[in-house]
Amino acid sequence: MEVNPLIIFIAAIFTSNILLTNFLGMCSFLSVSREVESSIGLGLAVFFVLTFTTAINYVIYHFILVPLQLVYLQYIIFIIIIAAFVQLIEMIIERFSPVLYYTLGIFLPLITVNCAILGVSLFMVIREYTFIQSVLFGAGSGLGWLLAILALAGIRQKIKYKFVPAGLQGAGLSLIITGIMALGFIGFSGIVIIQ
Amino acid sequence: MGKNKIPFTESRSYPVFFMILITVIFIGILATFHQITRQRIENHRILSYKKTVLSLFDLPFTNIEADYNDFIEENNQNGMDYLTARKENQIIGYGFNISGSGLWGSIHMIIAVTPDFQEIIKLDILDQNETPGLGGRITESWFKDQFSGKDFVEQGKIIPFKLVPEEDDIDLKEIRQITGASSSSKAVVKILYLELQNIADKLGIKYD
Amino acid sequence: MTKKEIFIVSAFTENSVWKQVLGICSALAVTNLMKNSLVMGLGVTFTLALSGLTISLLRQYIPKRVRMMVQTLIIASYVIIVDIFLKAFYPEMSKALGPYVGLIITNCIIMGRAEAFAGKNKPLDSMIDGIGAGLGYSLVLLLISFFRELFGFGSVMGFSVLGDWWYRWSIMVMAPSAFFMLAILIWIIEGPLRANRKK
Repeated sequence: MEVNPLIIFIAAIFTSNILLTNFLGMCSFLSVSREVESSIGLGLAVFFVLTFTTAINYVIYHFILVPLQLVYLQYIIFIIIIAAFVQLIEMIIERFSPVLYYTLGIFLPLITVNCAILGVSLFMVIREYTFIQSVLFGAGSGLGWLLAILALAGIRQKIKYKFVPAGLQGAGLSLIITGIMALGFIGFSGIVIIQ
Repeated sequence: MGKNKIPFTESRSYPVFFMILITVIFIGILATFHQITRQRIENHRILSYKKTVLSLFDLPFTNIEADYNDFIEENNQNGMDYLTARKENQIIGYGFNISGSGLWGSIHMIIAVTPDFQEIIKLDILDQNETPGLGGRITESWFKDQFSGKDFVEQGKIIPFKLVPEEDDIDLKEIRQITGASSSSKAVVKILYLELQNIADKLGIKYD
Repeated sequence: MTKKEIFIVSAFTENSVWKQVLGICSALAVTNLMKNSLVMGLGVTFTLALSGLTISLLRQYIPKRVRMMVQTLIIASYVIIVDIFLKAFYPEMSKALGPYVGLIITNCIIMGRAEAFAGKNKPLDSMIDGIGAGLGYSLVLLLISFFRELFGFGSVMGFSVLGDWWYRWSIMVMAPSAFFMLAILIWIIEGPLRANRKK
């Protein structure tokens, strides 16, 4: 794979946003996007965890699982690494920065089951990325996810008191907004041309 | 700890003990399952590769293993692996494994070309990670079959094929691309062009 | 509740997808083809049923503090079994689904059912609950993919039904349509259907 890592980074944010084109991380996306503030908190946490777990999983996959022929266990290993990393970060933040803990830490438990995190690690393996490509892919996906949830939260806050037909309130409307956003993001596809 | 009367299930070491136990059990089950199916997966992979090769040259594959050994010879020249297909002692074509980057990951393909290295006999996609339903459609036969019988040499040079919209009719040097997945279609054509040049280079093929 | 009631409640009335919009992450991406959706739905059902059974069997022994870890481990193990099974017997399908089989692990429905039902109920009931939730989930996937495949490819389950005159709607193959289809489905079920029932 000789694709420029920076192109992967940009592509992961815009043209193939992990949420809007791969639907990963939908559960927390829909439930947390009520408020802009908490969306930023969760978005940042996702970005942070995604970047680091992708790096760790890359090292584990290529230097432990492949040599030992344990590739078939990758799902278990990846999810355990993610869970352990999240737990560790939660403990560190709680001890050293109570302020950060209240903005970021309370979202950390939600992250282990965020499909985007595991998804990025799996895509990294399937697409045969190098280390730098993987890390930038992880960071880009995290930023893209942050961007998407922020946009949805902003729109939802604006239409909070507007009339919405019965049955569409809540999830239904959020999905339609997300769909329109996904359409909008397709418009970005011209900016990155992968050779 | 040892002497007080807390039952083991309430003790501090219990969660650790439990975790280890359950990990060992489940990993054990998985490892067994993996061992049982591993050979099958591997055989399947090799067989399906050989079958693809045979079908590229339109050879019979009633008994894949034997037919492959009869008709196909694996060669190497200047670090380039290639396959030679023979039928009744006559070379009917050469096969090459080619690959390059698609939209999302590597695309691995295999092509069969005529002995004079002028025309594609057939092309098949071995492995790809394009978006399912969009770029993934490069594996559909209408797309792959477009390449069959196409002449890739013009005025003594290897040329890339031109892409036209999916609905259009095609010319001799044109390929219909997949709607909504132009990048993946482009990738296939580009990989083909680059790799054909590379092969011609390594094997010292010249057109006059 | 009888076993039949458990099944109906978890499959239809309390269907996780349209009641709580859970678990769509791992599968929405493969709903542009019905065949992929069917396999994905079956994989989720299998994992739900067996992880429900296992967690329920172990429910008295699982220490509270590592509960999530144990559940994840059990779920991941069953997902790996699904993955190996597909690789060994349906390699084509395994390739088409790519990473989405592995993502069943983070499907919120499975974790949700483990927490809400299997941790508190008898093994057999938990398994039935899992099968119910899984089939309800598959139903949603199949409904969405039916329309996406029909309009996007002019086919149903891979068989061409609309013929060559049909102009394929590329949008139906692309991601946004999945959001719209799911929204419409939720709208129909939560809106008119529910209103009728109340009268």
